[in-house]
Amino acid sequence: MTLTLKINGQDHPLDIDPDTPLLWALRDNLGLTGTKYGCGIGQCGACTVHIDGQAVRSCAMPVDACAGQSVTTIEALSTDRSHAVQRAWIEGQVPQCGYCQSGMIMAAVALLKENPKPSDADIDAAITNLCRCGTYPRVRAAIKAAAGIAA
Amino acid sequence: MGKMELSRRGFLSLSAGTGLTLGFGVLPALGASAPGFGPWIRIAPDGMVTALTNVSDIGQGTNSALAQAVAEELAVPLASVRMEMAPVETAFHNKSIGNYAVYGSIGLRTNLRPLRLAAAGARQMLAEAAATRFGVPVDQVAMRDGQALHAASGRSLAYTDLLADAAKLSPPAEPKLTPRTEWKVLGQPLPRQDIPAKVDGSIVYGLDVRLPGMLTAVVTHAPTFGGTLISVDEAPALAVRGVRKVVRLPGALAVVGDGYWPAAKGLAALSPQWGPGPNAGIDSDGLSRQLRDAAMAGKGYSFPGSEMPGTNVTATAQAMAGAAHIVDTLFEVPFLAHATMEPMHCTIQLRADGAEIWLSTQTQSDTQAGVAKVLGLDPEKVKVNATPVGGGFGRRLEHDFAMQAAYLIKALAADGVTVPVKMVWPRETDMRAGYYRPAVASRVRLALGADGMPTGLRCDNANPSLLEHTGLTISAGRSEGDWSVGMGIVQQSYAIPALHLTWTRVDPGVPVGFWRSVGASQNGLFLEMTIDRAARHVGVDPVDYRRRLLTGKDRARTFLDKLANAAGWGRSLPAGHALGFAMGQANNSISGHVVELSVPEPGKFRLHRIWAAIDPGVTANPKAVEAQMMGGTIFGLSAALAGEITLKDGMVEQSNFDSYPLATLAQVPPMEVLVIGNNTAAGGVGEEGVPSIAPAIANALFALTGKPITRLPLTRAGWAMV
Ligand code: FES
Ligand code: FES
Repeated sequence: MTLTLKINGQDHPLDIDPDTPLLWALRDNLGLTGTKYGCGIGQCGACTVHIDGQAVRSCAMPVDACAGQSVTTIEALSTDRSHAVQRAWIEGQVPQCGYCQSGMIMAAVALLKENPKPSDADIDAAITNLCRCGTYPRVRAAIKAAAGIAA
Repeated sequence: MGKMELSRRGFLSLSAGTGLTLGFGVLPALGASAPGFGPWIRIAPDGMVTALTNVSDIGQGTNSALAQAVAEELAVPLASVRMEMAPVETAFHNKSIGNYAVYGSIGLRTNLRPLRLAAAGARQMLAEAAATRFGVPVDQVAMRDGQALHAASGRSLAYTDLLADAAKLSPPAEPKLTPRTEWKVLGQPLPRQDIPAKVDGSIVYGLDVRLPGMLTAVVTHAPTFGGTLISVDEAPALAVRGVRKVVRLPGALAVVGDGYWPAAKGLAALSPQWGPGPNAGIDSDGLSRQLRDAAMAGKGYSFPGSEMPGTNVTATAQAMAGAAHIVDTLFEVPFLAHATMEPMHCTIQLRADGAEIWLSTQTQSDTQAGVAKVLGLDPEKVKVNATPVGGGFGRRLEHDFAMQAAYLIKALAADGVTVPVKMVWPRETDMRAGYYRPAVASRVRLALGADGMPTGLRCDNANPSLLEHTGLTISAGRSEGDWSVGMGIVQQSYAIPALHLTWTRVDPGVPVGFWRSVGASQNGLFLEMTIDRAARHVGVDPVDYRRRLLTGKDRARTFLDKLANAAGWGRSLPAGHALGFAMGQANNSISGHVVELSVPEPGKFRLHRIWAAIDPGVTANPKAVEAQMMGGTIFGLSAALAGEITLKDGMVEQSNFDSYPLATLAQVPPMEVLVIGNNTAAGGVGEEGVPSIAPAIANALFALTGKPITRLPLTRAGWAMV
């Protein structure tokens, strides 16, 4: 079956099964490997993308449920790492291995869009992504830096 | 030192006898026209410096620190130094381990000095070449930012103009290293080079590798370790659109498809019949009893002093016999999975005369040998492309998954498939595939003399041996006993006059291996809980007690004082709050934690703050050290809170992050990291954050309740964090 996904501002007709999770359409069909697989069951957030601006775990989102909506991946956050969150991430030297960080950044961007000055409790509630390398303290500090809140 | 050290390590080519003109085509991999300084460092005509490394990027920042070292010693801008993975060839093995791998926090420890020497040697040769061109003595030539300068005449020459001349010179016998007091780049908290590609999705991990025409294979294993496939009806998988093949592998089953999803869907459609194998009867309760009984019996292999420094069996027995008091505790810890965020995988392609693989690994040469063996090739016929790694923690010291990919491609080749295949373990397969931190029971007895201070320590361990299971080639050789049970117990600075360790092998057939900080991951709790019990018995503050145990051990005592001061040890605390302290030594580093917690209701505790401290000797980049320490702390916290792999009827009960929970951002309280650098021998930083966080928490709970923690995870000891 052919369906059309709008990814990073472009329409992509894809001939795939409608139950294919968005994650695998992105990675395998479109070559957008910045979005990561970590668990496949919506637990880790490594696969976080934006659908119409909201953070969504793409491993648990079948492609037919995204038709007509606008999907943004880490690759399209900026063309030159200039998004405020990316800059805060570099400035705060957040990543270790980096594998979870696409998802972390996408979750952080969505949080700040909805809540430009999040409290610690807001950050706790919104950033449920898992990081095995333990970057959480720098993630928290970088979100605050991007929000212009003194740490 | 000097000539010997350099030539042995091969960082600079020194001898004309090798038939090489220094710096020109030193190794085929560098190309015949690349002027440079031995195989590890080359300078391109545009001034870019490339230094090779055999340290995988697993997020630890070692290569960025090594780049700082090259920039410092060669006197070039950091921006012009690029680190590149060395080819997986014998010439580029880590000489101190005889292998191409990184583990045990060796990355910086073993590479910093040789690379500094190589860079410093190159700088001196360039300086000599410049002196000749200027017609002045070499001590009048200053080297800065890739330029040789003669201040008196105002002349300067770029390194790139000096390469040809310098390459004709002999390398200095003893390159002069830049003294620490003059470091401008090394030792600074500079941005890591790997970070930018990690914020825009552009970095390509092993799991992201894509090759033309590639298929994807998704694998599941027999549900019991050692189980075998009896039968499977392939039809339901082959009926899934995009599925190409079903492949039977040793103890496993793979479905090959056009992408991950079709293959995973095909695999889920199958109902394989598995034979249980020899280990189907195992469950965690029974294993726990076996481990505890064996530890209590204490009849295992008795380590001699040659294997466990400080051992004195007779003196330990005498200490026990004459003790005023014995702190006697039976401890137990479970199997733990590494749970790297990027699951195991390997992409493989057969070539006319060999094979090529792409994967995230910590152990290139063993992987190469393992794959070659399966395919019946010489190791050098297997080209290993080691990508950046999405977490290692010891799991990627194994190469079981790479060998599985080799079996897979062999079977597919026999079936006419010629394209490359990316083999992927879904999270569930990864979680259940073993090489866990061993489950361990240990009876720990600390004899105290009349003065309340230790007179002898005996530890009777029972556990499966990771040395028997691991696929890692250990150059150190194996004793009859599993030496990993001594890590974190031996070579501590505490004044404990006599030691006796035993090990009883209890092996339920579950593969076990190296897990970040290895034996210290359990011994941190065993020893530090024991010390706090002793202090409490004699009525001394636990930090004061340790201070006495560290009399005359200046480095460790300074460390203890700095950590205790940072945490305000001894200050008055809010009602119901307590501090807990723990420390330890490994890999030539000292590390420790203080936590502040409270118990709002029975069985529940709240963590208010963590202070972590490390003395790694040389600090190549304090910011990277801080990050490693934080990461290790949180890794240890996950294990302390709820981490365990358990078995029922031989099957692993956990499968994904819902049943093997990791600490979350919300659970991690404010944390301060103290980086203390006080000498010049580089110690490890990768593992040091792990061992002492659990005992710091346990000791704080003990301070509040008087009940020792003898089991991890804390959920098993009746504690949940809120
Ligand atoms: S891969 Fe989607 S939440 Fe983990
Ligand atoms: S940076 Fe490695 S998992 Fe988060």
